Amino acid sequence: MNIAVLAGFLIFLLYLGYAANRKNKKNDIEDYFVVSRSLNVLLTAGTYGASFLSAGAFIGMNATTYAFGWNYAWQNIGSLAGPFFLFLMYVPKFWRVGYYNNCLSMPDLFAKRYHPTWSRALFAGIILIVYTSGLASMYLGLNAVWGYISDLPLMLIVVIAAVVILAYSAFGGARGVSWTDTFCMICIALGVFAIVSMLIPRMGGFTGIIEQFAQAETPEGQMWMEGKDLVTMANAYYTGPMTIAWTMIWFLGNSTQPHQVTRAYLAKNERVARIGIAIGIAVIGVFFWTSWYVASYARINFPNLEKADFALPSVIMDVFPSFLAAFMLIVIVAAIFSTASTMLIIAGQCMGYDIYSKLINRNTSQKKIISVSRVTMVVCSFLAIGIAYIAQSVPTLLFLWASSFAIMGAAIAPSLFSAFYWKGATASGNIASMIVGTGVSLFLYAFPAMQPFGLHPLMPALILSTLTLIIVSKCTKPSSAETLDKFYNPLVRYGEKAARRKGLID
Amino acid sequence: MDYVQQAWAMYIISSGAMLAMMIAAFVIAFHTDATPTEKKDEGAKVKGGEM
Repeated sequence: MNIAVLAGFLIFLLYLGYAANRKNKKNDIEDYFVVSRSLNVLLTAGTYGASFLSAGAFIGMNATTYAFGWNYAWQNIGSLAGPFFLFLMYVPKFWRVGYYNNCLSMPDLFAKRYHPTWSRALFAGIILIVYTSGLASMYLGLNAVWGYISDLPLMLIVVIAAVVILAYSAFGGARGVSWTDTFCMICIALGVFAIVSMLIPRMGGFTGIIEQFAQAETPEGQMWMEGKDLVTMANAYYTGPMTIAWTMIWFLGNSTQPHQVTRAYLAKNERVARIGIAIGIAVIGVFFWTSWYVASYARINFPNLEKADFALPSVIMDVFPSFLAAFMLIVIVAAIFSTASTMLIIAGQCMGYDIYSKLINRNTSQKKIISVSRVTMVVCSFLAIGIAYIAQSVPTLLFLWASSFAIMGAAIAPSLFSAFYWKGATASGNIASMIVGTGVSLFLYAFPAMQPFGLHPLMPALILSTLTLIIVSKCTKPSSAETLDKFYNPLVRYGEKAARRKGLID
Repeated sequence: MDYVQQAWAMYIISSGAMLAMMIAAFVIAFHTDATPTEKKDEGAKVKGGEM
């Protein structure tokens, strides 16, 4: 039955991609990449929430809590603070900059605020590298559920998943991705509701859960925490500094990742964007809250799992009746597919729109841009399958996923914030900051022995990236008044109605 | 604090912080103005400059 439900799910996603393709009547790049900025609240909430909730959230969060304890809750606060910060500080300005200046991507936004060639090229390059490895981690997330769904080899499942994701993303464009994301988000929301209504009442009082969780022992051969260390605010694995670093990773990653931030472009106005993302934040918040129960239930009842990644699937198979368990496994697959498809189309857009049409062949046709984007999606999918094959032995997929967040956060966060909130940030400062942020984080990942004071690579990379932006900006030619006007004029800064109320526009 | 109190403290702080963000997001979202997109081509005029 599981395989039949999975097959039905995949066929429906392909149908949505086909239907979206037929709906893309204009077939121009604004329609293909940002759905002509036309999404309503439901579709904005769907594509934002589903892009956010990934294999990292469903599998990784529960796996880490299962293995190392409840102090992962601090990181969950950082994870939700990321989208909240994005919602609060960026979304309306981001939408208005896109609307008034016709930005279609985040590198496009950087090109208009900083250097038209190098800021765009560097940002697009970072996205292509980070998202190809991010895609691989999504594919590997299937490892946690495939054994419950079928007996097929993992890599065959990965290839099938990659082909289906590629087909509906490349064919249906951003509209196909937003429709499939919304369908996946509905499945995810129903899944979260099922966990809340079926698992939590079964577990009894919270103090009782604490007592039971605090008795778990580490199985032989595992590096997990055990006993009271599972329920204390910090432990030998998640020390105070380590928890701060990881909380920053999720906060910065979730407020700067292009596959999440650019969902605001698709909404028909900034109000719709904010309401949609608020709905997404609500579903994400409730989902994070369930990890208190899912992870501890798994550790109490299944203390000897082969891999911590199996925590959520083991709970699903134990708690839910078989028909609902099949649906819940599909929910995990939906979370993986929806994030992967958004990352894939952003990667395609980077090559087709930002690199090819803006830097290589400025006179190209819109049709050619879409074709180059589609070819890029095929190449990225193949590369990600290769990385997934090599990285099968990575202990938990959260490592691969977190590294992509850390690199993006260190490289992008200072420049993104400064684009809207610091007029003194210059093109040279932005370029230097992105190079330092990416270079330092990659170097420290490659040579862990060089990490100062044992700090996570993000922290030194972020500090140096921010200092570089400030120092180089102070020493170089300021941005022109024309450039700053695109980001700081009253229409972009306050919105048309507020600017009118303030008497700043006629 | 003993380990039971620490667990409860984490539970309350984490759940409370996340609930506060969820509620604040809805309140702010419904108080956000919408740019009237149908007027894009007309272009609202900025005092002392052009869009």
